[in-house]
Amino acid sequence: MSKKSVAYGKFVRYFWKRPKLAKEILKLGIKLELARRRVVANIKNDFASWVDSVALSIVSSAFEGGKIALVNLFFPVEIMAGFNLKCVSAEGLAGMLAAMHLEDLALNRAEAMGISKNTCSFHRAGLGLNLLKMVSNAKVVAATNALCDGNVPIFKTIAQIHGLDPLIVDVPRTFDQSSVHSVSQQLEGIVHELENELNQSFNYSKFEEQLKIESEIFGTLRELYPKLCENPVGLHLYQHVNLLYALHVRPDVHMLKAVRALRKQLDSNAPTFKKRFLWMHLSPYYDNVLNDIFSKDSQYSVVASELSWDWLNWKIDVAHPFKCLAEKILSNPLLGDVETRAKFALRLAFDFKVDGVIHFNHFGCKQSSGSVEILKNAFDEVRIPFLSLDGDCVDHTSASFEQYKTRIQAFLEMIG
Amino acid sequence: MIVYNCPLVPFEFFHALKVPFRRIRPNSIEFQKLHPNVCSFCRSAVCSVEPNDVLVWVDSCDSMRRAYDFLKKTNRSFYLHVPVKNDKVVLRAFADELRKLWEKLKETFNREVPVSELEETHSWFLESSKNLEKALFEDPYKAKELFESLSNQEWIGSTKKDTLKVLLVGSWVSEELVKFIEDSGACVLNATCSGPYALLSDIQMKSNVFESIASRILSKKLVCGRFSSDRKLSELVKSFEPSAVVLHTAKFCDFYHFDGQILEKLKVPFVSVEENFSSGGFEQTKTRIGALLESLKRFSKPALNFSYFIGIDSGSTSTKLVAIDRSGNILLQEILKTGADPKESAKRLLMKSSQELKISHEDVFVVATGYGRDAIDFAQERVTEITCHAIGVSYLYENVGTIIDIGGQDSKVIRLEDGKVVDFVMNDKCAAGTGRFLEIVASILETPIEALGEESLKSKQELNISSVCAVFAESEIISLRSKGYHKQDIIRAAHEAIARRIYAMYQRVKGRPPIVLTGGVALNKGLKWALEKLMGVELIVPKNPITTGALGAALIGLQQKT
Ligand code: SF4
Ligand code: SF4
Repeated sequence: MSKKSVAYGKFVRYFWKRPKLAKEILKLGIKLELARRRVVANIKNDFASWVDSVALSIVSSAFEGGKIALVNLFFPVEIMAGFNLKCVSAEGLAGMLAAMHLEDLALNRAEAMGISKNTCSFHRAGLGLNLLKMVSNAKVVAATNALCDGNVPIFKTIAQIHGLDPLIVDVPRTFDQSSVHSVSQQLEGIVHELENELNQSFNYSKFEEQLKIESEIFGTLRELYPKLCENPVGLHLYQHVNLLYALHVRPDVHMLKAVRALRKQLDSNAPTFKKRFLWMHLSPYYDNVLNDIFSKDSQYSVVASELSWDWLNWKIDVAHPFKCLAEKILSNPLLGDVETRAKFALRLAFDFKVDGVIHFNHFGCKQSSGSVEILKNAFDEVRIPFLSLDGDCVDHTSASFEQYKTRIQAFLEMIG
Repeated sequence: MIVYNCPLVPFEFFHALKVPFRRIRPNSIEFQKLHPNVCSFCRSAVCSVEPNDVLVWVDSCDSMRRAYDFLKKTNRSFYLHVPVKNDKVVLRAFADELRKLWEKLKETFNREVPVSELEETHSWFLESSKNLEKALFEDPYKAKELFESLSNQEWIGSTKKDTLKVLLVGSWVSEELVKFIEDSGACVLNATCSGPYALLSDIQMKSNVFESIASRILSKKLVCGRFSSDRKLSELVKSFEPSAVVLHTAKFCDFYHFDGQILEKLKVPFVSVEENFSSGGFEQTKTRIGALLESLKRFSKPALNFSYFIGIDSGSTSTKLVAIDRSGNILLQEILKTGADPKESAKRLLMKSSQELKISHEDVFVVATGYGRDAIDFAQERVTEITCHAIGVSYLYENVGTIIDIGGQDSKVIRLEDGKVVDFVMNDKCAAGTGRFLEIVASILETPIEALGEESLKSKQELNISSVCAVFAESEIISLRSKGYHKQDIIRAAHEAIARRIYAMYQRVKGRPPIVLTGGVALNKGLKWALEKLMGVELIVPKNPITTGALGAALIGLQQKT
């Protein structure tokens, strides 16, 4: 997201006609940056630095050569821990390309396959970079239709590229006993399928270990939630994206360090902000004016992002792991009707005492943008200012920085 | 009245309950409360819901889910989750959902229907859909009858047979599109969700009727694009043996673009069209399909006795005319602004040329092309500009690999093999990558449009305009200007932005050199330079790049003579 990433992207692009070399350069850059972020995290030992390093470690796995599972943001990654597979999310990879302004290469590749420019650019770029053979070590391709159903054909096609059968979890839209039963059985089925396909038995203790780590991560976040609501931690807007990726795709020991650091941080002096905002859905991952407006040091701060708290109420029960994973997916407030989502967003808005809410309508995302009118009404009713902002999280060429700026500034002026 | 949104519903319930039912259908209005990112078919079709309708709504896609959020506030409604995969676990869960829905509907409509009756209805449904499948290939009239009785949906497809057969796949198609294809001399099998194929599945009746209905819905012969199982398009293509396939998707429907790959492997001629149901009119769709059908048909009318052949290319900005004689010599080339009435401009141009050449109307064969071709009713033949450009350019140069045509309002990239069109793309209804974009640049920078090319070649500094969307780019240009950057550098950056857009289209058709650049914008040296730099090849620009389409049209007339 920084100017540095863009400059590095330019360098990689220079070698693009020699894909192997370009990939090596990309890999090297990510490796060095990850090493840097790890050092910073160890030295500073603060929440944001750990989150930044975990977020990068996700995409880094795609290039390290170890076995990975390509998943979407809402796939229960815990399962892959039992197979010793690191999860990499296609959305995260798309974001990485966007940060370096290289997304057009992947988007064009997908377009060359006939995928419409009107399809969500996370999906297009995710597919495109697989078509470009940038990910070579995927052993599993798995997705759910939980948040959006465009995942199914995209992951099906990505699996084909890797010569694999896609693993799809069908998630019903209501949380009830029969849905929990169906999802947990599907998850168990996937474990058996993978045992056969990978010729490897499922390591229950690793699986349990992962659940225990998450139990502490989410438990700590739940415990700190009231304090955080009072004194939110200062994060750049893009760090909220890092946080949601880390929590969804790699809730590992480093994330544990992040939340432990957060506990300490909260005891020390908290920053004060002039105005507080709730961010809904995602935000652009490339260097852009929104990151300047909502920077860590700005008076205007995004204090909560919807997708970082969607599993706030999930309680982990290690004794019934599949059932509890099913509950994790099904209890997500973004899964069902818009009222549930609105209720959840209102709660975040009240708890964090926000002055305004910004909903980012990522181009081509139907599930999220389709709700915006009802969400706006919900916030209008409680007199919390709401801005519906159109743009694209991945494709920096189909966004107008000037328009972002004008709209946000007008919104800030309106709030006063 | 029950209103349903998608053929994944349990039709058996509606029949067994004997409640009238119908499907939503698009019309020219759109549901404004749904953000424009939502599928255009859905935004338009939900407007057909009336206040008293009872809805049975399937979560076939995100757009339909979001529409339901609104509809359930105004209508009595029932929601049904249809799984995206088909295995024992989800089948059982789905059957359970169906059973619950059955009970709720019985209660709502106050009907005491025993399960045995539902079983009978289900077995009738299976039997009829088998007959429907047979009738599709043998007796389209009967197929129409069966389809309408099963789904209460109006038949959208052909009832006639023809030697030229077009298979329609993808999302909902309209009668209008079917009619257009039929008028072009082909018959249609509609395998989209508005057609009969959506009702066929491959199952045997099971002992539990809810499981059996669940299985029917999940095991369709051609599953829709939302499912994780493969779409067995190749089987359909094998049995129907279409001359061509139209892959039709709704704007913002993510499911069907992937069919292109299957069709490519099957080596069946096809074209992808994306329809914006909200905007009405489908000129681009017609052009694309027309071009595909033209490439299949031979222009072989009986020998005619004409001495002169005139091609008129009626574009959105200008109308072009080329006249040739029986030996193919170019006698005249004329250009006129199209203005508000394309027919009138074409007529004026034709009269002027006839006078100049001193030829009488009886001696002239006229072929019309371009957006306005349908309005030119005095032309003996109408052909799309895709085919005309291909023929015109191939006449001027041998072995052309790709044509890049950048016009005032649209641009297209056409790949040729042995002078024949093998693939093409046209840009969407936006200014990106067209002359319109340059007009905007010219006006902001107060530079005459003809001077843009020369000016940009004087540029000394590389700048970046990241957006290709004219509206966004406009604000970027203004901001660069206010930061004090030189005009020449900004113009160059604008050319580079268009070049990127065109290059993406070039990659999409898997273009290859030699490349000929045509259209009004081909005269812009700065853009040519930017394209060449990006693509790493030299582009050929004909002496008169604006009239190649009209030349092709004239040549088509000449071909008809022989
Ligand atoms: S942005 Fe929307 S459409 Fe895209 S992957 Fe996320 S939820 Fe799906
Ligand atoms: S066309 Fe596609 S996106 Fe639109 S309603 Fe149908 S399935 Fe949904």
